[in-house]
Amino acid sequence: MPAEYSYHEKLDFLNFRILWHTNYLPLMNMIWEQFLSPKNRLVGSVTDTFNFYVRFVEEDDEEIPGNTALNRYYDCQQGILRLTYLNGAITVEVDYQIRQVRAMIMKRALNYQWAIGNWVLTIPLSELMKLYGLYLMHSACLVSADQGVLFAGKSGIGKTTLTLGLLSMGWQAVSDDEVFLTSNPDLVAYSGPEKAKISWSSWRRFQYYLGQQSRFNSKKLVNLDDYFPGQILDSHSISAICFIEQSDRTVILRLQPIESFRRMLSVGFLTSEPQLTRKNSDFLYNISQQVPAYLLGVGLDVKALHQKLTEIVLH
Amino acid sequence: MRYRQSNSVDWKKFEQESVLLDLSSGYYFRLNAVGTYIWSLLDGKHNLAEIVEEVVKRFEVSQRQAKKDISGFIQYLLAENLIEKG
Repeated sequence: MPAEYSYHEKLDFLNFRILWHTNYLPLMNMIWEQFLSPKNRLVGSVTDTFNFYVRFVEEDDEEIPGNTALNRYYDCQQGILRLTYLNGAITVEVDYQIRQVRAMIMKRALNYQWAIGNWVLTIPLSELMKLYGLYLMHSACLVSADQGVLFAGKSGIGKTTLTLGLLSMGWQAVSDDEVFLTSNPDLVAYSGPEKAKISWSSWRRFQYYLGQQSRFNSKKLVNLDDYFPGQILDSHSISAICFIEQSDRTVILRLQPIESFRRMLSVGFLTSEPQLTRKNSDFLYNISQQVPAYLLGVGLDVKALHQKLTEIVLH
Repeated sequence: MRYRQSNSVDWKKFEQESVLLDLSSGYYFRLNAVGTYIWSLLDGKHNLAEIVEEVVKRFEVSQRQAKKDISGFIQYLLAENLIEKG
């Protein structure tokens, strides 16, 4: 290991071990405290180890023009995927063959620390996970009557609102945002390294669900475990998938497999090495054929939502 | 002139309709029943006249209209690098 990476940390995730190396301790602490579950998880014996080298570069005065996550592009050549964010302030290389991730973060990128964990840890990890048949999906995963339901949709569509609402109705949750899916042979969802959590702003918005007496501690992010003890799960099998759309009332419509597949392409993380994208597409196609899919318009009435989901989706 | 599907396209068929996924860009395209049938004929073995003939046999469309529409469709697929000549 190069001498410049002075700080190290280990994360056990599913059957994998992530060794994280960086030259900048505050960066490591930031990622570890804000984005990772406090409990590392190892499901079985370790099948592989991934090295993440994250280099912080201090010399950098440039401002970042325009919006953030949109300034992103990728290319894949000779088995190495290159991801670039913030006009080059963050670059990430995923080397599939040696299972290694190399990231460079410039000082100006620290203003966007809310997204850094996703860009340098979750997304590269999701690329390596594809090698083992585990696929990341932008989706909440909630459980009622021992049936798991994916609630898929892009950021801002209402996944956290729906998660908090249904948790308050006694549902359980695997994740409020992203899950790793695999066929075992049934479809199973695992929570990602970014475990179900809420920010201070979310906490303020959703105090209704969390209870008027709830308190937000000094951390920037809090695991939902703190508010719903015993209701947060590590994984669950999936028996239905709902694609969320904003609506003024609760509506549930059954979708044809082609519509389910098309919508999954939007919430899967497909920009990748082409052969892995093909496998990812095969995986989503099988889900579209085997798992009932619904279009879900989410209104404000959480009791009506719970009732309709129970009648139509959980049967 | 014959055309064939690009190797960098993943084709998923759903009954009569289908979805094309461009593996290099991640963009996807939905094809209706006629588009799906034409796509299945872009195998490097059928030329434009043969494709038109097959489509006219199967769907209610005039030869003239079919030729115009299929030519436009093929130009679109070429522009998106979803098919190749030859």
